[in-house]
Amino acid sequence: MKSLLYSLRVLIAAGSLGGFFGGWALFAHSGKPAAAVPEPPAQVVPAPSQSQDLSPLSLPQLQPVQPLQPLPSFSSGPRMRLRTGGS
Amino acid sequence: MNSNIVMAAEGDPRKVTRGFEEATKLIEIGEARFSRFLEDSELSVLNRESGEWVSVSTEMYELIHEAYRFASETAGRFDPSVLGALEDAGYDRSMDEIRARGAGPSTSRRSRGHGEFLATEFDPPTSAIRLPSGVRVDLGGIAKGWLAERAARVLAGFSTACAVSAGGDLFAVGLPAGDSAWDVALEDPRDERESLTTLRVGPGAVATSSVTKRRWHQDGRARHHLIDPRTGLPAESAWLSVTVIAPHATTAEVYAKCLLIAGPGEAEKIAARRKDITFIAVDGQAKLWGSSNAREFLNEAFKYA
Repeated sequence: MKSLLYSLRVLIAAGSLGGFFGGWALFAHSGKPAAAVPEPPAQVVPAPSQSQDLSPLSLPQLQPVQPLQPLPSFSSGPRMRLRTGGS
Repeated sequence: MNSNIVMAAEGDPRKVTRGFEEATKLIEIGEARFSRFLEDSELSVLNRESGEWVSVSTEMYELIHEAYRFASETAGRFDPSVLGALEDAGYDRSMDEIRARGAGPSTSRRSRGHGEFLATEFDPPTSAIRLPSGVRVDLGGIAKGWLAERAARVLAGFSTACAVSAGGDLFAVGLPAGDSAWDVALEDPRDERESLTTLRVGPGAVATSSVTKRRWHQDGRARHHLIDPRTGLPAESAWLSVTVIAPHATTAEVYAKCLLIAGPGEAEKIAARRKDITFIAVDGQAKLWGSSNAREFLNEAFKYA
């Protein structure tokens, strides 16, 4: 009876070790997991040049304008406004 | 001188306040010296002693000499000896009195002397002046400009930028912080509460002469204080006001008056003699006219003849 039990333990241990090493070998030779690789940029296709076919843009006809308004100015304090009108 | 004085300054408040006090003192001393309405003013003494040599203060000598130079330069268009004509037109008392009690009666008794001012003699070593006999002068306008510039220069010693305006004659020293010019509203001569545009001017002088401010009636006729030396009467001009921008306040004051009296026909020719002045005139419809460089100082379009 004792020898039967001993034999059974050896068989279970041997099966465990065999399963372990068999699995190791299986994973070691399997392919690597897929990585996140960016997609290559889409190829830019230059538009066909048409400059040789177009005439230059003509400038709009200039119109006489009123004198330019000066840009608003800024100062740190209240602006000093003066007047002239005679007396 | 019956004029409002306005001072503006930037800088340390304590220093600026002291500057205001010093500038005010200078103006008060100037008024006591140059007023024709004060019996004991230096000008009144000089006028009473016309025909005689009179020793005068350095300031009086300088101002009369400057007036003489302008009278010569403008061929008599500017003539401070129109005082008699001014009194004949009713301006023989202060504007406050005229407004309260009316003008003096029409007369030609006092209108002697205008046109003779160029015969005035000067003696620099003794700082003495001899007005031609019977000639009396009114320094009202030119004295305002002279005082505005001097007061501004005093105030400048206490501030980083400042301006002094004496009855329409303005002188600015420096520029407001962070700005490239002074804003000076150009009054509508038809309604002083309104502005026609804003001038953008650098350091220097701006002066305006107007026929709509000091007006009164004499014997039913409208009068004003700008006497045409050629006629001895209040000038008849197509313009209501002329503003001049110039390096110095007396120049601006004198030419504003001359150009207003000259009117559209002659103004451009007179102004062309002085390359350092710019003028802007306002007519009865509030249209602006001016020298070719006037646009540089305007915010808005204006008509140029």
